[in-house]
Amino acid sequence: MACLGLAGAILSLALTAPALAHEAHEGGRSPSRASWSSQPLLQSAGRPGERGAQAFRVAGMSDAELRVFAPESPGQSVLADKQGDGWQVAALAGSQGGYHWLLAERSESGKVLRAATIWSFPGKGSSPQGLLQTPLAGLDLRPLRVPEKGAFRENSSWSFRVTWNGLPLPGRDVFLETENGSRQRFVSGSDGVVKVLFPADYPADAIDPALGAVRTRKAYLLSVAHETEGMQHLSTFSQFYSPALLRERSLVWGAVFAGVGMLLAAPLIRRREKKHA
Amino acid sequence: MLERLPSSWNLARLRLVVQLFTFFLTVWGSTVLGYYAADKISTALPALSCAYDQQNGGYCVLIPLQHQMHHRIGEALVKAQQISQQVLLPTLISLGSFALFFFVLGKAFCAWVCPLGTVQEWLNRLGRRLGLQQNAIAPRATARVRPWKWLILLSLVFAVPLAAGMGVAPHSLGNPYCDVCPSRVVTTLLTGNVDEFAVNESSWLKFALGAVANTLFGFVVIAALALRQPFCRICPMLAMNAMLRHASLTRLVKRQSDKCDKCGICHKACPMDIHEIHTEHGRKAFHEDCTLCGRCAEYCPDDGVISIRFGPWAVFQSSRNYYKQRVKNESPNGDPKPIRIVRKKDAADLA
Repeated sequence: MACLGLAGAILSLALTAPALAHEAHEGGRSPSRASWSSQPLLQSAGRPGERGAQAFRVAGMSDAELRVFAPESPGQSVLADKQGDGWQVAALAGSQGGYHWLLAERSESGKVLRAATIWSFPGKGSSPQGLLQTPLAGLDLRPLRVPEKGAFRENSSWSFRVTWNGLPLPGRDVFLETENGSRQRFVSGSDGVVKVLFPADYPADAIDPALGAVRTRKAYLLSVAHETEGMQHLSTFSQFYSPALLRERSLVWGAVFAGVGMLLAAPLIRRREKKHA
Repeated sequence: MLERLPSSWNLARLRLVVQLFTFFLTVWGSTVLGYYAADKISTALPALSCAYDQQNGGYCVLIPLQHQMHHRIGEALVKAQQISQQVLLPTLISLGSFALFFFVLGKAFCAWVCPLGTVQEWLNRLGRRLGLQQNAIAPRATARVRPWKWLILLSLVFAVPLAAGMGVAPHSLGNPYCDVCPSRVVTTLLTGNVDEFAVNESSWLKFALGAVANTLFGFVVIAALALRQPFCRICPMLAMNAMLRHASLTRLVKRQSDKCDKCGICHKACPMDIHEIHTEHGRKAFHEDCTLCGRCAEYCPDDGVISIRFGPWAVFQSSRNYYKQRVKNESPNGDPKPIRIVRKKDAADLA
């Protein structure tokens, strides 16, 4: 138990260290932080507005710029207009909607902070495959695949790639934090890919009865740090994950009703009578 | 056209190859085509290629139709907005994609592409191999079964989702057909996902829908062993495909022949028990229940009486010689002939 406690303390220190350094560098300015994470976190805020426009805010990072990448042109970005303490973002002009990559960034002496997310705007849109396979220069962390139907869910594994200037960054610690309070560390492989198993950390009463397991969701954040030539780089990716569907479904009842159906069909099953000579 | 195939081939074997290919495509096709809707063949296929199967290569038209009834048309009617292009366009795109596919291949989607149709066919072959007595639906009984597919299409695909969108029915009835469709259970199980087999317990309505779905699934799995294509007979996709069948390029054609009166093998060969293929000709012979499997044409012992046409061309037509070869392997009602093992010498004597 003591070992576990010590490991937890080290992990929590490792998770908070970059943010602590960042706060010290801010020189007294205190950017708002998410209550559950000290890392830079880019998240949607409120419900979609007209034509699916969505408000976004970044926590743990001040004076950031937000760049938006459409699936049709994954290498080109458009700077989002700031509104209040966030941005109102719609599908880019010329795009058919679908997944867009959003990146909040702030560079200052000795530090580059990035907070990214991916968001699906109304419309079928192009496949996000190009977006997911086009890492940006610098420290980049993005999923290899995002759920199109359904969601990231508890107990499911998803792969993310860490790159530095477009090249895989192996052996890098990637930290997962969830709004439900989980903290985990993963290490990127030789191809820069890290396989993240989402923890089953939803409390039993956390599933909203009105939304069910299908639509209940909480945020998660992945972060990775890299230091080179005296510059500290910290990149995060955040999105939502949902409870496992089996939390509100029963395999036993599934088997029972399948059995009932089979019994109903049983009268149809008869051995063929053998013809006698 | 297909008569040019090598002698060891026949229409049934060709269909099996196509079914194997489309089965892979409709159940695990994303591994080749890509994972996202934009990569897929279409999101409006006229086959029960289930959208709940996240590894599929294209999915069924019924799910976008239900969603459009629910979220677009139903909600728009309630808000008393004008039925604008913005509201109707998605529905027209779904129906248009469906019509485009349908215009080319028509009802062949049922017998050549649909993964649930393929699973039922294979189960029936298994049942025959196990020596189970096969059941057929008598002509009188078909009259009672046939309306169900229209009823399911109108109620579960159009009316109930529309009512849910208008707030008349509960929101959880947004896609009721998918909730009871056995293809959802079958295809997701084939990808190793048990989420759709498990019954949702979060509300009595979801529980009831799950109970119906799994009961139907269990029934179809066992019934298919002893009855050809049990679910196809009430499938709303069969009804969708039936609506425009005469407009499709791919269609079944039967010409009048005096020999038909005393024959009726085509009816025995039909996995959907369509007696009209025996008693009728012309447009009436291409029945709403036809899945264009082509067995009636394969087992018609007369030259050129039944044909499958693509536009003006006969892709396949019945012939006496083909029939003689075909019945050596399988009887018209689907029973496989036992494999004959003969010595070389005996074979030479037989020849």
